[in-house]
Amino acid sequence: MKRRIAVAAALAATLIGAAACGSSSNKAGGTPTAANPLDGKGKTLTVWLMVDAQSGWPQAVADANAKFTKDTGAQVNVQYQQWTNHLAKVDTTLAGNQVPDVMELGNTEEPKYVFGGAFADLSSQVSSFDNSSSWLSGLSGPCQTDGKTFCVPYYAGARVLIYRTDLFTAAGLKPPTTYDELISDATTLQAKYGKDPKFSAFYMPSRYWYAAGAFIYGAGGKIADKGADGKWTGTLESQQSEAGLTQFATIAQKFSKGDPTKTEADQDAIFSQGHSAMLYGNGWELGAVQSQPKDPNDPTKGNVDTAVKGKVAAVPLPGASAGNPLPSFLGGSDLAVTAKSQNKALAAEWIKDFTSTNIQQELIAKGVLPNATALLPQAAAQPGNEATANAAKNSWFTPLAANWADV
Amino acid sequence: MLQNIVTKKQTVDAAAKAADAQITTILNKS
Repeated sequence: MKRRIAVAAALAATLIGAAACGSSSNKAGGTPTAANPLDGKGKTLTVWLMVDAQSGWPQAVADANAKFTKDTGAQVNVQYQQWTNHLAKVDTTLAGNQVPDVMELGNTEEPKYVFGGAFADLSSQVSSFDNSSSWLSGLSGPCQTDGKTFCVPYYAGARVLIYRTDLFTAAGLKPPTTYDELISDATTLQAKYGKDPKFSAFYMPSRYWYAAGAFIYGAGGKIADKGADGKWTGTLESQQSEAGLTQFATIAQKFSKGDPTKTEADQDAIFSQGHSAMLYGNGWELGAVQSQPKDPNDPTKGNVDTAVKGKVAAVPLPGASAGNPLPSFLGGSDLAVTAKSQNKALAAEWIKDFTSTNIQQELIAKGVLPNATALLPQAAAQPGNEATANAAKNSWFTPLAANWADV
Repeated sequence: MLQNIVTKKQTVDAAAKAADAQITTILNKS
């Protein structure tokens, strides 16, 4: 359950102090004029986005910037960040005085900074953001504490059941629509192809928390509960949670081969070798299992087609009854205005432009899930994206606790 | 915890109880 975030009490204290400083200097006559805080002539907004936007939807960034500059007169300096170890850079930067005005973080990363006071309060402006009434709860939840909103949903990703169409067809099977069908299909596939000692009817890494969570929450359980007194209690030993854990373990024990210490980190590479019939992965992993790096240690050598190229499809991970798939952990990103920003009004305005319906539609066209349920039907209509979009309609999220990262 | 369940080193109930104790302690840490 270890997350990338390492909570540091000292940093949190620094951030809280920083928030206070940022607010007071702004009130004392910071950059925005009192008459028109959106007059950006002569100013440049600094925006930190992750590299996904640079490689996946650069035109959407350019379009949002163009509208923002036209409306406010301010320029935008977008600085792209790498996911690897980016939180160390975030922590260092937020502790200093030269901070970006807008910052993207993964939704599991947000709570530390929201609780720590690193971001500006956007509560009074929420209704002015497009589609805010139907923001995906897995994205908006980590932005909120004590009834206030400190960041804005940007885009999402959901997990689905990826399966080998050729193996299912050869075995006379259709993709499962219930958990019982899933077990029945896996049993049939394991019997038919089990002569291969490496064959996994369902490759399920033992330490795959996002998969276990789907079964836990699908069975009506949860990881932890917050009482009226504000105290947290672990709830994995509830009857519902244990039922979900048992379903997860059944799949891993009966239908998955390989090293029991594995997480999901390299499941795409393992599945791509052609010895597995099913896998639980992010929507984008449907592509990843079909195209893998030629040399994992040298990204400059590009990708090659794998043994399962053209032989896979995706459906939501089925639940107890047909039409009610298991809730998917909803990954994704949020955008926040830093508490130290001297251009808070402009920064919020840029986020409005970048999360507008028009820009969300540009992301959908690139196969990205939008930030709101109101837009999911459009995402579902995108070829190859239907299963992921449907999976996002029902999602779960890790406990929204400041110390969750330490679990 | 999950690894212990899958490898049957612990029962689901025993692993869940142990995990709950840890989760409760960590999430309430001030």
